[in-house]
Amino acid sequence: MKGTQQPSSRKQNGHRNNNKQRQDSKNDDKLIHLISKCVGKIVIATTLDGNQYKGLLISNNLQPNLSVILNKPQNLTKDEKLPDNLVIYGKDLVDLEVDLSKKPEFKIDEEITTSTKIKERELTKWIPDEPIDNNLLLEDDGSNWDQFASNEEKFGIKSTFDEHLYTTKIDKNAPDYQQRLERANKIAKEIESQQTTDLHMLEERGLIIDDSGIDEEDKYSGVDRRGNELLAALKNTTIAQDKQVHKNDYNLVDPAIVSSSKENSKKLDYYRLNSQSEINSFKQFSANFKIPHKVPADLLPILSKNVDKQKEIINKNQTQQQPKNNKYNIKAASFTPTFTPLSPQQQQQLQQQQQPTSRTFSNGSSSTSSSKRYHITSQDFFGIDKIPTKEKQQDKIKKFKTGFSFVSSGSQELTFQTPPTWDSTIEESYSKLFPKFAPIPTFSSPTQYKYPMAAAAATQQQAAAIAAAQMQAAQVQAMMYQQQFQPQPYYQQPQFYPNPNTSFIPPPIIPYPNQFNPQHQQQPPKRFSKRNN
Amino acid sequence: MSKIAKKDTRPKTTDVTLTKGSTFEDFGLKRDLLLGIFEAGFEKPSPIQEEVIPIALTGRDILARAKNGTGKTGSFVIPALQQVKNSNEIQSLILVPTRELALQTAQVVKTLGKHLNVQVMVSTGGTSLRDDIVRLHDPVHILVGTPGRILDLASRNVADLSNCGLFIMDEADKMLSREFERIVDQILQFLPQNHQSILVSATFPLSVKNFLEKNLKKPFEVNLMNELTLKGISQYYAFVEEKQKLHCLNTLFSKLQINQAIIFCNSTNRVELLAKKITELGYSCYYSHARMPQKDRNKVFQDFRAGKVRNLVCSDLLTRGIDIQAVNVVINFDFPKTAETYLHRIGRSGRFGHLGLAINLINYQDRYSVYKIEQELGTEIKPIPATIDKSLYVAPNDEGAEISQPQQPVQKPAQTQQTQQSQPQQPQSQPQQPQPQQPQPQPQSQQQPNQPQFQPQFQQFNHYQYQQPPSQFSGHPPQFPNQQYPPGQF
Repeated sequence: MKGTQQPSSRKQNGHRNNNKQRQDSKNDDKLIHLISKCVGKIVIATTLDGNQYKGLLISNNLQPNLSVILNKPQNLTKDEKLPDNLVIYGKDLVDLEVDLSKKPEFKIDEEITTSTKIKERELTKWIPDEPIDNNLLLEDDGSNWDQFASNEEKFGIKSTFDEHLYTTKIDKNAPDYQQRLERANKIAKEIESQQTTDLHMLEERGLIIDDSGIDEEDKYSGVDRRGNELLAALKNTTIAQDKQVHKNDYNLVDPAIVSSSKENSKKLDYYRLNSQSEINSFKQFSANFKIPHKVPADLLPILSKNVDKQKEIINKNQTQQQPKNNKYNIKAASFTPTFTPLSPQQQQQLQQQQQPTSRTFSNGSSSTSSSKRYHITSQDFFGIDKIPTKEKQQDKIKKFKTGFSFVSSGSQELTFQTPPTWDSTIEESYSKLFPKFAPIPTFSSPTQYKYPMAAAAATQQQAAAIAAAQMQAAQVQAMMYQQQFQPQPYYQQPQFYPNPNTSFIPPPIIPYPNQFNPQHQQQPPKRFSKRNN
Repeated sequence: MSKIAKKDTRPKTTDVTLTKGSTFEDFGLKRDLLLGIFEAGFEKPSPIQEEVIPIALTGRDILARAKNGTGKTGSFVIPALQQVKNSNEIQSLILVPTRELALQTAQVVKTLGKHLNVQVMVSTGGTSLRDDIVRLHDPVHILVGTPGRILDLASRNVADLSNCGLFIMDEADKMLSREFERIVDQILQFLPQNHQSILVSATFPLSVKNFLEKNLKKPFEVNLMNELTLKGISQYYAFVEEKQKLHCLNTLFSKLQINQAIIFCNSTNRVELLAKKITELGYSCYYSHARMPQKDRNKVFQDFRAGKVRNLVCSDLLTRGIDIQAVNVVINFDFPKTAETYLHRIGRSGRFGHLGLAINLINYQDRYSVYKIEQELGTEIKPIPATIDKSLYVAPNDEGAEISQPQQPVQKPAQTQQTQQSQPQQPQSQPQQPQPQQPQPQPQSQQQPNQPQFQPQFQQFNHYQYQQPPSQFSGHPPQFPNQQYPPGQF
């Protein structure tokens, strides 16, 4: 039908190929090229019997007619049970549509999972065939067990390892072998004496490290998702909620480990240490944190009802106003830092900052015994008028999301700048002033022109001019679409704005046919089709 | 070794068979490389190999995702070998997260490049650093290793990566996770600016977009996966109390026809305890985890791969990438925390599109993890039926071999009796007992307790050529004459 089209236009407007052109090998090559580029894409195939199948194009055959194989096909016209791979032969295939509009991003696991949600359900208990043998428990009898000796004794398995199956041979007969060895020794020593805190580097250098709390799943197989909550919160409209906290917990304590005997204490220790370090950091923070102003008198009853406490607060505040002595706050005396002690300069810095910026993390060998919980109210922590509420936080996140994005802030409704000749001086959103391509003006304008366009369209001449303008706009729009641009709304076209030098002519409103409505307009699918004679 | 591997006749799923139909000859590979490929028993490229190899040969960066055990290693090893030039520099660097995987990958490179005269070296922690430095004095063409050791060697200029044109990361999602990301970044500083990168994995739980934008040039993305789980693996759960787990495992051992099994635990302590218990129950069993000396880990790895031992208990150290063709059952003695771990664990069975079984022992506390992982994977784990159909995880010709199992008649009456006692209401739930259809060959091992139960026919095992399991090897449980527990007990 449109066989004479250039390849470029064909790409835009769809491609039809009939038998005549198929004899043309040049065209055939192009078709091969196009089809093979489409393998791995979702296509819609129309068959002679009028059914449309949507599926992943996984294979095709051009000889003698274009046949295709669709993976996970789906009949769009009627419900039908289909095989995993649907073969559509050339003689049945009428049309093949491919949506080439957008290259999808590399999918992460979650996006590949498409099947229906799996519900939480009652799990079926496993019923043992026979009463449980109490000897069959996974308990440590404390004895050392050598797997190699035991398996050799019982099953005659002799263990072996030959590194030359995997790596190169060392040429020990080389004339300069001794020199090489010395050099290697020297370098190896240098490497091993290097300082690092990276767990993996330490492990690979063969240094024994206290890695309690990190199990082998975290180390060798799982991908740590922690820290992505903030990103997720920024990405999604919903903020990170309980669910993610839940996830986090799973990362820390695994039920199966908790129920095991030996590892148990270690895990809990880790948990405790972690919370201990958090308490410590809070403690330090509250000890060093000072409100730089005097506590207002009217605030005292709010802070504490106890008169003694009130005095204490004032006292504390006053002592804080005094020039600093070069020591940690007396209140913090009970706190012994468990991390590597800071150099005097660092300590000084820390105090000058008044607020410790670094959190003290326990290094695992911590022996802080202070189990007393340090109560700190959110008022102390954030200041009286800055206590975060859920609403505020949500608001902040919303602002954070939109505030920095150039694009999204642009899409916010900005007030419409009326041209100087505009009658109304009330600034309103442009969307209220203009109908959104609606055939019937449904807005209520504050101006006296309630339906200004109806009057304008009264005369034939004007109507013709308007129709022409509209066509033009539509064409522009259609072109824009093909170039994958956002359509420019017609009211941004210059011809819709009154010339400021002339008197006001209200912009025309024409019922827009649906196909020009960007809401409904789809990008024309790319078409490869093949006709049978 | 030099003759072509025996054809693997086991059924395969579309995970590996659904190709466009290209052959290794189509890629224009060196003749000697093709020879190595065919000798290793590769017949036709798998879907991922078909996609990756031609693009990789053009020198373009690649990000590829394919299911567990569908030939990812081959897809990057073959281009790496094809590109090896006759010079004395390191030309390809392959990074993997664990030492065992490094050994395995290096062995694949050696096997496929047998006729190419390529020097392949493994460098990981746990081995002598001095030896590695001495080794690097001689030419090395392809270097395989874990990031820590490689960075140490590269930063001292012992391993000169300035002419290494090909950078490969297996298990890329793990390599780009927090533990390794910074080290990988540093290693990249030693590579030439215009190097080619190939990143592959079966899972990408997080976006690796940042790394891609920073380090890859217009990567060719391969992702023909439209589901996460392998087609050939049947997944079941057994909902048990913690103290029933070992009992349940014992029952599984007696009912299932296990070729080789991997059993995962969540802590190193439990790994050791369980391995000990399994040995006491009369099944050969090794264990492996990261706190063992590397030489022990190596022995366990090599022997289990060679099929000397039937069971392996391990931590998540061996969750990713380890390829043992004979494994048909994976048991999660403890349920994992993350979906990717689960996926990689169960992917140890059903290698290269074959059939396999994954059984999860879960307790009350695990149930939310189960739901979560089911949701993330979009797959439902079913309760374990009283009888698992053998056609789900045993290849037909394996079953045939079972007939000649030596000691079957000895145990049969006892087991049948036991089943009838315990499950009178479910007569159909009897384990399928193979009928002794022919006179049993004189089982020599019955008289010689110390003889290996599994003939180490796999010792010469070229890892890719799947061989028919020796007759003693299939069928479970192995009947050991020196069993400590009388058969009636389980």
